[in-house]
Amino acid sequence: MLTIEHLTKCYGGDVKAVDDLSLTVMPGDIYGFIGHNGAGKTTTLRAIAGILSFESGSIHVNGKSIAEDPIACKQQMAYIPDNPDLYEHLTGIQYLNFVADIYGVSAADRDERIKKYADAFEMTPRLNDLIGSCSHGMKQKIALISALIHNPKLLLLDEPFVGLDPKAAHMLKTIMAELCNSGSAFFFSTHVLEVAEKLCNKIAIIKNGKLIAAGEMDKVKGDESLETLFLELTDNA
Amino acid sequence: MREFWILTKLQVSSLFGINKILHMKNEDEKKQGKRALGALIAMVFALGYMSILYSYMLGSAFQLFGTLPTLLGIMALATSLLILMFSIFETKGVLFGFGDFDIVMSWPVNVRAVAASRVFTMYAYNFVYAFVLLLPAGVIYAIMAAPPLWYYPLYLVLIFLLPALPTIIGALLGTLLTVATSRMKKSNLMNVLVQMVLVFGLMIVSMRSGMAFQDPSKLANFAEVFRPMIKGIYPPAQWFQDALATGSLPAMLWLLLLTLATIALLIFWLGKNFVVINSRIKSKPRGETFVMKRQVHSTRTSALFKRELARYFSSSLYVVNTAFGYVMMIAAGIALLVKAEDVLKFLDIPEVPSLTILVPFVLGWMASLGTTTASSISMEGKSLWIIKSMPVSAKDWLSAKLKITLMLAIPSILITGTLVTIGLKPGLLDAIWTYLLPLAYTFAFGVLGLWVNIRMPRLDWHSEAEAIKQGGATMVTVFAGMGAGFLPAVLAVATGSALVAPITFAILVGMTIWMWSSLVRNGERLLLLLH
Repeated sequence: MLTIEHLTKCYGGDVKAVDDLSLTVMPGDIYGFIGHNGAGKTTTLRAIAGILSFESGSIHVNGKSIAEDPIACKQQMAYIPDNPDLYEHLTGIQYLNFVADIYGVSAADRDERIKKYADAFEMTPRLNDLIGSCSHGMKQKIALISALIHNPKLLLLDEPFVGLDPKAAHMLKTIMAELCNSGSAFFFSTHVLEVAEKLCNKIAIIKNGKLIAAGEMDKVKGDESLETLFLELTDNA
Repeated sequence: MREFWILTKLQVSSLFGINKILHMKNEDEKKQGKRALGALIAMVFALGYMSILYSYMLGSAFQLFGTLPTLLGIMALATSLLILMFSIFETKGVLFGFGDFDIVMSWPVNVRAVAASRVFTMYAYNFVYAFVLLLPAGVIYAIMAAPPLWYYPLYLVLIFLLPALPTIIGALLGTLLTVATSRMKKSNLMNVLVQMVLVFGLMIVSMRSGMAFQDPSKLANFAEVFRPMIKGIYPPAQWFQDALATGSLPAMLWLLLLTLATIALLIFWLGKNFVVINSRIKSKPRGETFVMKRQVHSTRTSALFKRELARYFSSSLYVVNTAFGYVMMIAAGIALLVKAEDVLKFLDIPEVPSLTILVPFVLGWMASLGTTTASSISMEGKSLWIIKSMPVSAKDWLSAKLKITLMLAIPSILITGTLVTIGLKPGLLDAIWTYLLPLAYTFAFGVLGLWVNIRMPRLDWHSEAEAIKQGGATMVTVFAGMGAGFLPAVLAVATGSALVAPITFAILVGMTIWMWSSLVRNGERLLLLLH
């Protein structure tokens, strides 16, 4: 599904935000990505999403290179940043229709998915509101619905649980599990280690741009809690 | 006072993106920032050069008629009117409805200090224009009049003082406009209409005053023409002139007292109403409860165009700054249809054929003023990630932006071309150029706007004014349009050659093709570099 090989991204000449990072996300994976602030999580996610150029390495989505064929890659992906700055001048439904049009979602499919996910996140009655008038959590919900509307194979989420109310957070976890069962994959960053531990089947830990641990959750953390492992690795590695 | 300076420092540091350039670590972004600042500096020099030219021409004419001090009054008047218009437009965005309102208001600072720091930011921006326009006039006056020594320090003091008053008046008018329209259902449309009327009003006042030149009986005494004009339109400009030319103490005091009084009045009033007005603007009405029904499917191209259209009409500042060129174009067409003789007289053009040669270039310049593309990439702001993460080619994205310019320009050119053709009855060739040249300008400057804006974006704005009015790309496009309209027009009238129009047309078409090919070739790479 997603193959990253020796990814390196530099800022300002020598400062390596991501340093020789390699990992693979398989269909059905819920892959957590953790690290301290400024470790390189967002940079990695943005590079995979095709938003950021990188100096060396490669990123392939279902065999297609993001550098060489970005449109084909993006057609299969959805990305939500940590702070979803959406088009404030559009209403929720206008934004969702715009996203559906760009991804070529048929009228029947979009009707079904908007209804399904807007109902799930309790957003249906508010879809006529301007996005500019919505709270952070509501914007996050609209961003999530827009990410799900084209049934992507790979979802890249940067801190997806921030701003969501407990019910919406639970709903997101349910949707993640449901989509993974149908062959999609999630690669997401989080600071909530309990969520990562319970939800993810794989985990990657990044420190100062370098991947210091990655793989199956059980194998990576062993008998320890994810929190203990994270603190050990990030303090000592 | 301490709070005011801290807040002002914060505001001014973001002005012209200087702080970002100083502290940015990403080399690409740093280069982009430097390029934008470089363009801005170049444009300031261009404006200064124009001011030197105009000041010298006006100064020579006034000296001939023995009324040299009028140069100071007329330049002060022009600068003040320009600043007044800028301030009205900038109020919503800089003073009200700015992005960091919540965080600023959460600090333990006086509301008056917040309001004053925002007004000072408007003043600081306007001061750059005032300085560039007034300094050459002051120097040329000094060379021609050899004034006493006290003139020099006083001039510097008054240059600082003069922009304050129109900034405050503009902020007050802008505030009234914002308050009056904030609860209207079509508040943006109302804002656009009122701002257009204001701009046209100011233009008509200046043009009517300019008509006074046409009265030969008054030419003998220039002062008779100008003094009441300046005083009638904007008395502080006359005080500025009197203070500098005659050292008039009452004039100095009037200017100083009125400025201080309006500052105090505005800050006092804003202190009481700042939060209320901002809350009113920020509280957007809730839409009707949405009921799921069948959604309409559009193609990707059409979706991108609809998105651009919604963005364009969501900002009254964006609309007024761009559509103004087209409104001016149609107004010129109507004037030529209804009162062609008056236009000839006003422009001091002896006969219709000279005007028919000139018109296509003037319409072309107006079309270049209306281009929406020069700030359309900057307008993506923090939402740029959406387009960058979508399966959209740079070509499709840029085409949608160009189509907005074409949507506004093509009907305006067709209407104006027809009005001009009926009004002036030009020959077949001139009639064809009346349509073709403005169209060529539209395409060339539409593409130029994109070409420059993708290299000089302003994406980190907190108020739309930063992207629309303060962006280097906008300045480059506007000034390039002036040059591209003015030079061939002068050549065509001076030489009377029928070749100027086709050569200009060929250059514009060539320029369009080259820039568009470059954008299509490098668009993906350039889009990826935008942050």
